[in-house]
Amino acid sequence: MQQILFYILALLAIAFSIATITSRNAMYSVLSLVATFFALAGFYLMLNAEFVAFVHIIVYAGAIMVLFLFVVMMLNLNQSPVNIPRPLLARLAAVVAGGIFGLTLVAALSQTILPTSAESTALAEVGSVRTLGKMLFNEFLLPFELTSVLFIATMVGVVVLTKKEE
Amino acid sequence: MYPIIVLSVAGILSMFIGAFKLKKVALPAVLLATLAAFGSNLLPQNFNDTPLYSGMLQFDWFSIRYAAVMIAVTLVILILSRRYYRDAAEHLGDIYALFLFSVVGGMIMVGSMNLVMFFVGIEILSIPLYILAASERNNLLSNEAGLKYFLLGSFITVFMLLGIVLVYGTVGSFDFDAINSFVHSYNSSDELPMLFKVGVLLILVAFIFKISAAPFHFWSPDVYQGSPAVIMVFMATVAKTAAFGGAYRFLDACIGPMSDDFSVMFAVLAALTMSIGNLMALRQDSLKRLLAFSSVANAGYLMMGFIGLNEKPTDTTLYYMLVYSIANVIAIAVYLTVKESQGSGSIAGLRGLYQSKPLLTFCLVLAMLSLAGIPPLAGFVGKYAIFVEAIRDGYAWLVVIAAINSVLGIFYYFRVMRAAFEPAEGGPVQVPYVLGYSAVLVMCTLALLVLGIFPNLFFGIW
Repeated sequence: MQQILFYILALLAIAFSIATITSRNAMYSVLSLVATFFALAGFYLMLNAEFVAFVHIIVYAGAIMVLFLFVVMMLNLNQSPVNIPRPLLARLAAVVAGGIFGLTLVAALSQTILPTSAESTALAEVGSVRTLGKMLFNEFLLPFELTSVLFIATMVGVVVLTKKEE
Repeated sequence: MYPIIVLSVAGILSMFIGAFKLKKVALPAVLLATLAAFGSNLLPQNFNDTPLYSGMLQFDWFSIRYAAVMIAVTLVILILSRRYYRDAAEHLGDIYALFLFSVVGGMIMVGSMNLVMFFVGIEILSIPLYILAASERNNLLSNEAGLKYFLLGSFITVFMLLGIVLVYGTVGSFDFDAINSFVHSYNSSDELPMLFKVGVLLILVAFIFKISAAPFHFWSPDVYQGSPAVIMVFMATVAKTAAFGGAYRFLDACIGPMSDDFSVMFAVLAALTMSIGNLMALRQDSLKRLLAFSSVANAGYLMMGFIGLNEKPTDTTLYYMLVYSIANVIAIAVYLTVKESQGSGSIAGLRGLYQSKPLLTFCLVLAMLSLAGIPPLAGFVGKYAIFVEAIRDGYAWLVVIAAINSVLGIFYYFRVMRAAFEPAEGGPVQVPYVLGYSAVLVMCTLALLVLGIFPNLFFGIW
């Protein structure tokens, strides 16, 4: 059952992410991205990481994608398919480079025995808000706090870049 | 840890400058905070041999030294930024805040003992830089620089994240010590899981991008030329010091015994980087673009320090970085003065500098000589030390290429010097006076001389 679900989700995720980058219409592209995010959230749920799954849907599929859609609609991009010039040589190079990288990853994956985490995912607790919170405020407290510096810098940056000069 | 706290708080406070119309005290306050950070960095309480905060951050001698160099160079750049921001950009406080946050990110990078911490550091370093590069909003080149840097930088971040995930997947921990003992548990690195090696390689790709080494150097000339000169010199000095320090930290503390496997890769990339940088710099007319390519070339020399990492001290790279930073700061300071009076940033714009500002020309000449690696100056000692270590590791061919490259470098550094001595067509250049500017320049130049004649002052302190 789990395996069947996994393969369905995987197929959906791959198909929609390919649609995201291949579709010429910005609107379709954004909508496929939303679908990809939902498929990914399904994976998180299967791994007992409910919190991550919900955050993923709320933040990415919800907030960020709505923002994208707004921008796409406001710029009226959905009317004209975007045509980016793609020279044959660049296309060939991209395919070869991507293919080699993919091959390396597949070869590496087939030669590596990953540490099985069967017993840890079996625990329903692992992805719960409680476990996550405990991790975040014990082990990862310092990175968590310092991320606030990152966010302040980002917010200041938005002000610097967008505020009108008087 | 202390300088991180001091600079973070100072950054947050300096954002209030705009709100309370305190532009006059902005620079002194920020300078004071930076000085405080420098002092707190050297406090004995700041030193710790074991990682703090559940193995996140370790301020050992290595990180303290790198932090000291980064803060000191930032201090000088902030003083020089006075000329650039004299007409008081509206967001002066915010811009200083971004400077300080960026240094915080750099210090986190060189001090981190955990991949999560490391990633947070590299982002805190980079995101303010993207914004600062685009901070000259009415200049299209600056906008282009910011956008280009941001897009390529975030693209490379994805590689780094994938690398971190692969390493985590095979090891099961983000901790540097845990990863190190994982590598140790294998007899030879051939037996390491392939996926782990791919992960490490992807993380290294991100570093190679950050230090603007070939084959990921394409962004740096455009970004350096487009961004405001003060930001450009910050990127070429402080951000690069942080990237090199972070790379050292990762290679040494994280994958330790495995780092020798990458020696050949680093050697080839170093040769490629310095050749590309020097050859491209030969035909540049814009001083900023020339310095950008010279920065690529210097990244190549510095990468020679990654070879055979396990048996050598990390001092030489830091020394080289410090000396390179000082020379670069001087060059940009002269550029700023000339640009102001001439309106053009080309090398030809330097003409007539000697007639009006002999002292400035003297500083520029010494900086260029140091960059070219002429003996009594510090640049020579740095290059010499790095070359000697590479020969000791058996990379004589690399040193031959590096020596040829140094000769190439002399060509374009001397072109800049020659332009400064040529008479100008419209009489001597008039340069307005800014308080403390020349004093800082002379002090930097003296530092170059003293560090060059008595390098043990630097190597002996620690």
